[in-house]
Amino acid sequence: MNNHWVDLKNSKVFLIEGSNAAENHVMSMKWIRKAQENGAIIIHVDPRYTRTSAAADIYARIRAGADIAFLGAVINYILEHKLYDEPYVKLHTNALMLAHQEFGFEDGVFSGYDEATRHYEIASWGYQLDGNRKPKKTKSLDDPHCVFAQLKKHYSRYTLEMGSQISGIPVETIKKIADTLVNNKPGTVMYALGMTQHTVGVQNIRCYGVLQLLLGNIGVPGGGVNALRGEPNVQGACDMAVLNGYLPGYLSYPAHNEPTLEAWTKNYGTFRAKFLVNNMKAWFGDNATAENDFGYAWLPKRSLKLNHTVYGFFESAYKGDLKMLYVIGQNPMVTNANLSLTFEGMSKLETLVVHELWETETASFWHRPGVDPKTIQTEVFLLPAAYFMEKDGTITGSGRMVQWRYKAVNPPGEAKSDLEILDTLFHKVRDLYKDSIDPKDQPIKAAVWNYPKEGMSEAVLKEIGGFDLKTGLPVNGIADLQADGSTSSGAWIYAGLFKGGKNLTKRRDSKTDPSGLGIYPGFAWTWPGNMHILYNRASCDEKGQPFDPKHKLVWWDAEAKKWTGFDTPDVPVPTDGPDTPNGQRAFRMNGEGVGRLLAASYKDYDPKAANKELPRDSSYVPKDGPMPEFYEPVESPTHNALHPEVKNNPCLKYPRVKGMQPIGTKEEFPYVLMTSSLAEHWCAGSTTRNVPWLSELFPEPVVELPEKLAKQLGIQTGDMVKVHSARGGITVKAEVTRRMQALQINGHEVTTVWMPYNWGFKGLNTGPSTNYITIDATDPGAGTQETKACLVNVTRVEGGNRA
Amino acid sequence: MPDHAALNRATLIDTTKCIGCRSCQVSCKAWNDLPGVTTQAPAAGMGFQEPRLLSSKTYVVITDKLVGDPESSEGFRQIFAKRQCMHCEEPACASACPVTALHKLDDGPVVYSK
Repeated sequence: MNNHWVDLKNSKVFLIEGSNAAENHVMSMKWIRKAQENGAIIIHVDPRYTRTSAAADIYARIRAGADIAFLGAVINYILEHKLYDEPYVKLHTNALMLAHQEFGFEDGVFSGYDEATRHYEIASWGYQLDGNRKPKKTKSLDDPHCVFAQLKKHYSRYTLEMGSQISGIPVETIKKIADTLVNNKPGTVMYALGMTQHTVGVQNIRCYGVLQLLLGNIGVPGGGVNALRGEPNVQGACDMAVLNGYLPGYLSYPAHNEPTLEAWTKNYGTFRAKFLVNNMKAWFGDNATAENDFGYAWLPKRSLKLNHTVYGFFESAYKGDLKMLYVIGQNPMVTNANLSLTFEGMSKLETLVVHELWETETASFWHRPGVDPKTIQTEVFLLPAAYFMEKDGTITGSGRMVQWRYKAVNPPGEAKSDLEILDTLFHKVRDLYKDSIDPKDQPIKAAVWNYPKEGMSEAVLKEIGGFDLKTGLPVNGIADLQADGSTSSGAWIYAGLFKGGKNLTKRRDSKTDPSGLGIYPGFAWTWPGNMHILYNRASCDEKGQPFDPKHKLVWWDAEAKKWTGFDTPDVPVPTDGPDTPNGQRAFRMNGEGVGRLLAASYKDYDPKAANKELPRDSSYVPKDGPMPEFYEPVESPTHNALHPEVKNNPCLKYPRVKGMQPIGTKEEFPYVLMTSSLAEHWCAGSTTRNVPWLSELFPEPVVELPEKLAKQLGIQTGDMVKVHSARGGITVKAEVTRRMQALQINGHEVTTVWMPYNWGFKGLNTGPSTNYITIDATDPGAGTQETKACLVNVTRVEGGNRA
Repeated sequence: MPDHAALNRATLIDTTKCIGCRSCQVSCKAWNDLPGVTTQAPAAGMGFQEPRLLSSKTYVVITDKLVGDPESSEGFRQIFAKRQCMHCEEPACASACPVTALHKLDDGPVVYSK
């Protein structure tokens, strides 16, 4: 989240799209209802009418996978009618920067596209640069060469009619939603997997960035683009590099073509290299020196030719390239799309280790129903793990708040905390390598790993927070971190959580909130630097004074000569005022220092730097385009109305494994299937399906069908029906409901059905897994599968039970 | 009206705020140490309502109904309501019970003899 949970109460309008907050983030409704009492308007955009729709003021039914068509139409409406926040757009975005002369979009693809490799060369996505290699700027938004003009041109194709034709939302409703967003500020955007589980997932979220920047809604209380994270600590897991392309703190993971720290720095800049040095100091201690690149050579390099996502794993296993898999806290035999391939891959492993609370479907894949265990040679180890109440440590919520949790009870039997298991394992492995002189084993020998048995999790947290290695004391924040190896931090964004030597994540002051905005600065600790609202400098004008004096957040104090306020000011240097370049960098994590309507390729160079070849920072560029463009899902019931010749994401690579990833057609599979989780069961259901109180609430998977389709197929609620795709099918009970409705898309009727995916063959409450049906085509950048839209057929099972 | 009326306290449950998450059903079972029961979804017109009825093992049920509403864009609204013993001032169940298993206590609650 740019903002945080309590801050939802400050919003005047909610755009909830790609999220079923009332069911899957239930506690968010506590703050949304407070805002609603103060007159806030809730907009819910979803293919399925859910319990969130029931709480909404405006519900818009959208076709699964058509979000960019709808949001593009909203963006175009705002641009065309000049409804954007002009002072904000001019000051805090790259609108006035001049785009590269060769940048363009034609026939469904951006400039630089190579059809043979399905890859973009991104040089033309940059800016026109001045002598200092900085972007040239114009003074007027009407300049035909500026980013703003490119944005207008790009979205001019997204008329209300075009948005409606593709998405199925009526023209008047799109207009009403756009006007509601414009007339009610601040407004927030809430999203979850409904937006990310698409082959255009990254670009779906980029739409929100563009929209909120145009509305001036980033960096203000009640604003932001807010990702609702599904698992209590998924934010913490991502922060700590559970994502395959990253090191802790979202530093890019070194690749095969970055053999040295200098090569890495050329790509990502000195600003981030400093944090990487601190990371390596935390891992390798005194063994990391300036002479050995702080141990950079010891970091395994990822090959950019290989797929390191969870889908890549099972495909490698299927091809025989991956021999051993260690699974912690995940149940891919329920949650992966196209489960048949997951199963085939898993069956080819030599060794599988599952470190879990339960004997999950993954741990017992070798004796799943219908399979002869004798045909599977994989050796499987199941390590009993501790539940969250059986261990201490922190969790980081969606709002980036890091909270300490205490252990309540001891784990049962031989179960151990993740940390104890990994600590034991590491020491055993290191022992086995103690005489090795093989270079590949050196990082294990060079690592600093000496956590005390008592207070282990706090010792690890302290290492993450970072040390001044001269004094041995915890650092007080990111500003203390040095590039010369004199400090360490296991994740730079967490630097300072032991400020003053105290574990700040244990703080519990839930009474003191001088802002009245729900910030509560003395409650736990929020990264970075206890900042609750990211980009909050953007709430101020050029002089550093709040745009909205009635809702002050941070400001420049001219007398004290520093940035101050109710929240930690999001500025590069707190004493660099608005008259300095740093004082105007509201989006300091971008090379340009401003919000990016065009996600341009750009490296920022410091003219005073000793080494002119090394950039200070480098901006992130999505590999499938600098501005969101609508493409149909891989399995789509219709043509691409914007560019029929380029139907799907041009960077998409699917099928990846011949014969195992068939693509169904609308002739054979006429309906759209969307899947999701439930309030009552979480994710694979490994825990929740073992809780009788939750199982009685939702005892088995169903398929929700609209009344019209049910009538056509002769199906009533409770009938057994088969839902099948090109990949597989399962039989479940039907729920016929008015909450599902067909839509008119490109002049034809498109029917969507819905299924939850939380079931498997293990546990107290079992049922067939929906993911045998879903498609494992993935977003080219994020690697997330398209489980929100695939094609299926639905048939009545003759003689099926009726409840 | 019985004399104990003045002593009674009431709980106001504002169902217009309810989102149908059913956490109250689960926490009721947790506090009262009640078992999970076997249910079989779905049934026409019952939506998410599970278990279907109140019982000696289920003291709280959230009902889930789609009701017609011409003003809404979809032509209906989804309405949740909390069903539980209301501890009525004059409980009809107590007067109707042929074996007098149900009683109103002086301090308010309606209870039953097991």
